[in-house]
Amino acid sequence: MLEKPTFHTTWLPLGLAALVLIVLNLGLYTRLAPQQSAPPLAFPYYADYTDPNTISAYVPFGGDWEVRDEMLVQLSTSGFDLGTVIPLEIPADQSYIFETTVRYLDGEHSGGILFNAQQPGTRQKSHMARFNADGDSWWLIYGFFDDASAFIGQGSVRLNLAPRDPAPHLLGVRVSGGVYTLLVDGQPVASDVALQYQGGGVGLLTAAAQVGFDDLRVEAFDPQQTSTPAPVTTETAAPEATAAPTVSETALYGTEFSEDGDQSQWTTISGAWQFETGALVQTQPEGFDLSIGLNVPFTAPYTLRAALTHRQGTGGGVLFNLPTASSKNGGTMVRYFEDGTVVAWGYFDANGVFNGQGSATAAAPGADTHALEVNVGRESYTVRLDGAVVAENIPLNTPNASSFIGLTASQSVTAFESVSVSGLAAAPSAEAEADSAAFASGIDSTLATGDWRVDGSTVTQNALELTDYFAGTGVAAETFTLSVDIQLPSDNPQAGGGLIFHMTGRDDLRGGSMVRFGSGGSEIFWGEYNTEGVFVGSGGAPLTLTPGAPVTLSITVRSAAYDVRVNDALIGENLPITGDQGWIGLISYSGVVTFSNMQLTLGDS
Amino acid sequence: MQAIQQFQQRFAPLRERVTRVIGAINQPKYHWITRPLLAFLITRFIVFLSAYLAEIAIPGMAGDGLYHVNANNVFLDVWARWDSAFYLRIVTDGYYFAPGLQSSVAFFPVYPLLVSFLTPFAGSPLAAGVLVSNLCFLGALIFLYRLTEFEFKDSGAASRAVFYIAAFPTSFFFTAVYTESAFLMLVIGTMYFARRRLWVWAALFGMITSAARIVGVVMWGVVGLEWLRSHGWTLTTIYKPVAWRNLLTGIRRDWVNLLILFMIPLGMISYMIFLKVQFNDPVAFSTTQSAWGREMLGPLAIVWRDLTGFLRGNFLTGEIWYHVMIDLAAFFGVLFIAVAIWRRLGASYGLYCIISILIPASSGTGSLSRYALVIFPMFMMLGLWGRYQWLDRLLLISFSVLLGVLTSVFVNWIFVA
Repeated sequence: MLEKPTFHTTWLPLGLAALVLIVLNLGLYTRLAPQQSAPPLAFPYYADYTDPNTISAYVPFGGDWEVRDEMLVQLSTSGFDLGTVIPLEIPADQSYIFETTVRYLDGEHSGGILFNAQQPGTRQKSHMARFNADGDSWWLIYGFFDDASAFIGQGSVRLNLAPRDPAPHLLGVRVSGGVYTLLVDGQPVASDVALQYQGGGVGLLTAAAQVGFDDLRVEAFDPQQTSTPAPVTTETAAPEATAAPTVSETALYGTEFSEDGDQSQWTTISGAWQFETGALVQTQPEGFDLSIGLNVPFTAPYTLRAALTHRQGTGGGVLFNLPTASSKNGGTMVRYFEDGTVVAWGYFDANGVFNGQGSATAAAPGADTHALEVNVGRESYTVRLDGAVVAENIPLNTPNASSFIGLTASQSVTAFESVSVSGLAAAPSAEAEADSAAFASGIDSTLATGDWRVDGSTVTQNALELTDYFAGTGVAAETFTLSVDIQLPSDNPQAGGGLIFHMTGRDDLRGGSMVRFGSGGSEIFWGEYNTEGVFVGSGGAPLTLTPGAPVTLSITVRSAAYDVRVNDALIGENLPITGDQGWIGLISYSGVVTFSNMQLTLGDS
Repeated sequence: MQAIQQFQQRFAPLRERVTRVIGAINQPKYHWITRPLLAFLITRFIVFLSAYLAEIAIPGMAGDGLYHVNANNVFLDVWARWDSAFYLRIVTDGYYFAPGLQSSVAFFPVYPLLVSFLTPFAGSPLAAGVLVSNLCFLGALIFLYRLTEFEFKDSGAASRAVFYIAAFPTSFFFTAVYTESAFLMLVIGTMYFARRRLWVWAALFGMITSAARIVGVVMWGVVGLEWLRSHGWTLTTIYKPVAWRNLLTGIRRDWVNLLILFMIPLGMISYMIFLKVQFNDPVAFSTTQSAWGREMLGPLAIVWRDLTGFLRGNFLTGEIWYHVMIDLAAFFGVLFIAVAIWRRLGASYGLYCIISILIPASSGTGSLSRYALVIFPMFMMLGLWGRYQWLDRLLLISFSVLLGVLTSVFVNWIFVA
């Protein structure tokens, strides 16, 4: 039954309802809206924590922060991302440096810094860099907390520090021009990392550790006056092509991870790598630069191709120019970063510190398979993604005569369906020729062992120690006739010199066949270098040569055998060879040994 | 002997005056205020005394996060424990939301807003919080008395109901800086007006209730069921054509009141808009639940998990989850009584009981004994059943003893609920 509206039953409660709604909303926005608990501190800002009241304006968000022993200490050893924000208002266009000493006291990991924090009292929308323990190694991980407070890693660097080192270490960041550089003990460890958030406050945080912070400074700096020993990122011209005969790609390695694939060739560096039929998968979804190396050496130039699919997260990529297959230190890396819309490249220094060399935007990889390709030259490399050039002529930080490749994944489960490496080998050509000048110009003294000097078309090895010295010529061939005049010293009865051919790499003698004079010219011997780089002799002959006089050494290489001639006299005939093509080099035992008048004729003679 | 007679003569007028006043106050027409007030005063004396003695006599726990808001005033300090910090921080610093962390957005705004308004008068947020909690509790007891008396036409049942809820083992939360008392007052008020067919008042209280706690919005459905019942449509008559004819008639003649009931969710909607504006997440109160370790497994799986875990404990050595025991007792107790409530008081009461216990039980049994506090129909039924003297005494004695024990536990930073 509809009752007649009365003041007490209808209009009074209706009016009260309107009033309550107004009060509720006004109260929410005026009394319960997020407030800053203290006025922002002034920039620049310095703190040495001699005064316990220093932190009264700080806005903690987790943990137990207090000033002890003239340090700011976070006491709790449980819980991650326990932080306190120093409520500065640094303008977005302000270049500044933020540094503080971080002293590990107890617990699992350690502490770090927040910067460009967009709001007090939360890690949400801020950048972070902190120390992190991973087994016996000590890392600096960095990235940002996104709008949902989820940590988005931008990279990690392995530090040359003992894990949980109780000594204070200076951790800092230089922010300028939309990028930041991280410094540990004053040395840059990661450069030109893109900023996600501009301006704001700074802060400190810890991860499952009791940490002390001290000598904190936040001040402006002039980026023009700061020399950063960052990796060179300017483009360099591609090295001139060697005077090699026409070359084409030759498969040096390839696998699609079938069941019978040789898993023993792969060495896990970090992460959880699992061989599946048709893929090699990094299955640990969290962690940075989790890598595996291929224990097969390659010599530049070569092309590394990997087909990869992200099953979870994004961060897959490749390693190359690795000095060893068991460590990524010294190697170069190209991989997906952030949410997969960035492909970045750079190198790990000898301490495992990653130095970015550049980045480019990319389409998010999704669950599709993508082809990542790196053309590794002698001094630079080119990156291709799905066939498109992403970056060209990036200088190799430390070109290695012989190096290894690997695979890597960060913050993701990444499946690598295939990996291949192809080198450049000579295309058989009966007409092609190369002379001494071509050989001489192809020698890279930085890659050769010993003291090789090129004077016009004459090459001299001057080192005197009793060992083999080797220089690649940059010439590759399959079947050919090669002759060279070799002059052994008259004052070194142990000196020797000769040729190597069918080498695996341009400057890698493994797999090559060698013929050389020995003992001051009193003998000649031949054999092969095995895959370990150890020479295995297969024959030889005594000679009577006049020391100090040039001797012509000639080899005729056919498809399965070769002949050796000294001063046109046939010394060895139909000597077996296992390789069918490869690079040519010079070898000297002790010195001084001179090579001249080199002549190459390609094709079966 | 003479001295005694002189004393009696001297104080006789005073005794007569007191007797006269008590007699005047204790008239049935004032029971709606005197009985709740008596229950309030007696039980608050117990909890204040227990809390004070427990705090000063028992070496409580200390460590990370075990804060003391006002260590210089033990009477007040003991009422700020566990979640109290969230309410106090909302009052002092406003809401905050950090996804992945336990954030204050989980706590609805009515209670902190009341505390915020009273803080200038009380002197501190803590004092204001205790004041708001106790005033609201007294209001809740009055509403409960009126509602119970309305339903059962029995002032004895109403009196017992207010004593039972005031002496309930976890009723110290009604004094602490928690939202329980405010929510209880609002939810009973909503029901009281709905049962009295004062729909605009019911909508007003329902609207505030929906901004007081996430389950407050349940009152929209509860009041809606009452509106349907008032027009001859109930869940038990759903198959009768006459019920539907009554309903159509009701809608045609009483559509204004039906429309007014849509005011009820406006409280929650206001809070959601606020969350959207401030944190870009209108359901941040739900988003942050995961930070409390709650996972939606459903009440059966949750209760089975915790029950088996509890039974694996060693009762002789005391190595058991004691608070799980209390929570499970509350869970099964509510469900058991809910059946009787449904049959005696109707679907709206029954559904309120079931939903109020099943929603939190879907993600964990933790704190169920606190959530059971606001399931007021349970106390109405106990008030009715308390006409049996043995049950009345059993309940009052056991409740009072446990109230003292759990209050002591609570103030010493041992988790209760």
